[in-house]
Amino acid sequence: MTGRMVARVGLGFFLWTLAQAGPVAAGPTDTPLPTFSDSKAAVNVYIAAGVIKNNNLETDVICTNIDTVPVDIGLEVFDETGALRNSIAAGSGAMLNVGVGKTVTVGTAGTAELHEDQVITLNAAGNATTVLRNGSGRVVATSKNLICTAAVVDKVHTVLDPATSSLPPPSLAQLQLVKLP
Amino acid sequence: MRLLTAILGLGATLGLVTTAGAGITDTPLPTFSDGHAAQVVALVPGVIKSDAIETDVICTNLAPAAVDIGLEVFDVAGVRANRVSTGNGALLAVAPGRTVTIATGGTAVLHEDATIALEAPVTEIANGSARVVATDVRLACNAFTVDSVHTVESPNKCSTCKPPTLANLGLSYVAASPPPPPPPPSPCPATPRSGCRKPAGPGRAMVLVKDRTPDELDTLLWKWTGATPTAKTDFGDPFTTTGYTLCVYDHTGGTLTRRFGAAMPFGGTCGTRPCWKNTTTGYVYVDSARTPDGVAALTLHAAGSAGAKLILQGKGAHLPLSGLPLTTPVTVQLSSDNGPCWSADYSSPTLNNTGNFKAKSD
Repeated sequence: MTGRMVARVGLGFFLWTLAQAGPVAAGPTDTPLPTFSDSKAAVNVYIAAGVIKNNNLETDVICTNIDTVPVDIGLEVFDETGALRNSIAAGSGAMLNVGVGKTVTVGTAGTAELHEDQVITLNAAGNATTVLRNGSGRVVATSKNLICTAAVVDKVHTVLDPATSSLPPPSLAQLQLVKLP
Repeated sequence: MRLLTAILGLGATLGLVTTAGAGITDTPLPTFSDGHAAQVVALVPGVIKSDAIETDVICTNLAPAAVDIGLEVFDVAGVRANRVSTGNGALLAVAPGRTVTIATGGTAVLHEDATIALEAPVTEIANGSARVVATDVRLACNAFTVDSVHTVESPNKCSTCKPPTLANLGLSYVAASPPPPPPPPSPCPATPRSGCRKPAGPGRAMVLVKDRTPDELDTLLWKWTGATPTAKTDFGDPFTTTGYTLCVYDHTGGTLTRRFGAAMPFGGTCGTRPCWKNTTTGYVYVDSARTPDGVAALTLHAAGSAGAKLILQGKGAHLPLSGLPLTTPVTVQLSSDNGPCWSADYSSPTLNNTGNFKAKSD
């Protein structure tokens, strides 16, 4: 191994150590913004507290492209430790090239009642569980020109005609988003 | 006399009401048990702790340091029902990025990190309010009223199990809704790079900036013709490693100030084609979507002698313009990642107002 190679390995290890020493719980403001799989850089459009994927509750974020050009749209979710739990760059939670005026839904999972265009696969970071009992999220895109709303929704129930079914309708509540300037 | 008595009586009544029910806006702010003073972050209407309904408030710390977070609840008369100062409804030292939930009681379907024990004289909140307090206002929160006893069960397993009632309370941020996180870092360094290549002479570079409403009409045009030879290899490899950044500096307040910048990342696909194209004399960047910073095209044209040409065109809302006019002298630089830069100074613009900046180089 040459001296230059040793130096490179050493530098790599040093940078890795710095990364490990950095704050693990970066959350929706400090975590570096992603790049979509088409190499386009993302900007932060909305932040949400209270993203839930637990006890058969899921979170759906619905966005409409109000820009004049197609945009990439993604939803990043963080667990209660602030760890990022999906990879936009890998396509999890991302919708590419959403046309002008089109509306898409990205959810933490499929639900029986709502429509999802894309669902997120949680990675093993943070608390490494398969749930977000107390999470947060951010909507990222290649443009700020989006309008979005979010909901926490019961994933197993649907709305059925009470004349023909005694099954109850799903729980459903809006999740307030904070639009960033 | 009867009128005076009535007025005095009304005044006394109002005074009593005001004193008795200070509520979420007038009640003095608490101090956390670690001695840190609280600020109001958000107000929550419609807080309920009654008939198996509880209120959960979920907050994420957006600040760069740990914060104390508390939830104070008030009954129908505006009487505060818990003391954050004793730890009732408080979570201390919540780390950056973390999310916590404080609630009026435990629920079967949601997760709570802290629950409030109502303090005398309050025993129930049928129609209350609340405020989120913290040592930093940079929080994002959501508030729900939630049925405390039901869970969501698959109808295949339990057809008679009813899911919980759940509703968002629509909290209002007291600070600027909430204070935004710091803007993303500029692609440009704080001061211009030194040692950049200069134009062939006065007037051999030009810049035009149009700041319009709507932003979709914003325009940026920069042309530069060089004085020294520029080889194609000087442009690096825009397909794999060499991105470009255009940076504009002026002298706002008498000091050199970064005004705005636009990045053209290496590689990538713009629409259905690669963003970068190879030409005989250099490279061309074309992005009809104009992301991330509004640049539609960049031409890098090498020349063995003087005459290398650089042309950048930007347009639309993605251009991160920071307002006009600019304070001269203005410096515009095109930098390659880890490679050369090309620069020009502009001291005598022909247009410099709130809508336009147009100049030829010194």
